[in-house]
Amino acid sequence: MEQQEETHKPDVVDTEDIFFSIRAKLWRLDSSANEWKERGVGEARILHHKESGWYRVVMRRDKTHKVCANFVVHPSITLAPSAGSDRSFVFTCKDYGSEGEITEEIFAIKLQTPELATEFLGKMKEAQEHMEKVIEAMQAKKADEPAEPAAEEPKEEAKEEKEEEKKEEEPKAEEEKAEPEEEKKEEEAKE
Amino acid sequence: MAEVPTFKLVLVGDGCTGKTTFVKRHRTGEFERRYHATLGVEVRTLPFYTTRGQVNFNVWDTAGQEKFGGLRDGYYIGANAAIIFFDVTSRITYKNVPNWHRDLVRVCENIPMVLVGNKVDCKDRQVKAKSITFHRRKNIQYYEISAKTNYNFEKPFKYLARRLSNDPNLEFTEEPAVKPPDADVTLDREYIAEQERQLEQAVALPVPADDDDDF
Repeated sequence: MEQQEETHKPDVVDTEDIFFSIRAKLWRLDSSANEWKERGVGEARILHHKESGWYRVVMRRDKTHKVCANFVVHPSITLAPSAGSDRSFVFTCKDYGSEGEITEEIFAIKLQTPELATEFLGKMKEAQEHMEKVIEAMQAKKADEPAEPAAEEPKEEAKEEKEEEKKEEEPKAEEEKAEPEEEKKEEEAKE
Repeated sequence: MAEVPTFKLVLVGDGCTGKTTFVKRHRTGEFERRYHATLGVEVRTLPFYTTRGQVNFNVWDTAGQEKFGGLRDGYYIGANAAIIFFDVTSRITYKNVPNWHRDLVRVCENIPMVLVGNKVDCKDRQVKAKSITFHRRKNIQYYEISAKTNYNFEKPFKYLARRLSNDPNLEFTEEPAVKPPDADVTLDREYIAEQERQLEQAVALPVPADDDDDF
């Protein structure tokens, strides 16, 4: 007969904590067929990265432990209750699969009971709030960094200069500030 | 990095016994209800993650329908393992198991094999468990499975992986999930608006609520 089912407990990577874990069923929307296609049943975990503070969801199928979802708990994600279900949510995300290949997905996730659905929603919102702070801090840090790496002037002086510029022609200065930042982001997105 | 051990696995059995659905279930998680007869053969690679590292099965999903051409030896040549399917709701598919087995061993003499009785979730079961004895005579492994409910759906692969790696204690482990990059935070307004539009449509489409809804 089969030996004990779960003799090998799935490994938890030591760079991340399990913030929350719940049993769920997941579908992806096949837009061309306008049909929900089952993606898997298993454990969905909200993982918290110990260093970066980032949160992501990794869901794996029962038994084979294969990845069926892997996405960042981005603050912009909305978990919308699905029509006619008191324990399912629909949301969009960039799914990274197991190997990091990005696909834009519309997922539906169903929890075992309405109570567990509420708990899941709460934990996701909590993670999103943390994420918002982490992203804000990241962006603030980025904004603080001098545009040219060579310009190693004391920070305070640089600030003063900026403020002076602002006073002279405010609207233009803001535009200039916004542009390079967006370029930076685009570059990173490409990476 | 060391090369991933890869094995050719042939799936045989009558048409409509669930070979393609079984493979699809493993590949995408989806359960296909509609029947599409496989023509010739479809080869798919299914990776598994085990206590002995990654193992790949190159799964040769063959046409069960004789009318699409009986299986040529080429499908069997070089196979490292095989799964013979039948449908427990259809007696004839079990009656044909010896034929599939005979064809297999004619080309592949001594490879690990699994006999699979699929669709055990169905109420109108025709092939009773007691009458399934073929595997004992041939000394091959037997599993009752349901591709629909995922009952035992991993067992054939686990058994074959154990046999092929000579490790009777092999277990499946977590597939690694690469960490998304921290930098992916830029979402422009257009993108968000588009997501919201799609979400609105998706919310209106109810998620399937089946009899297999308890999980």
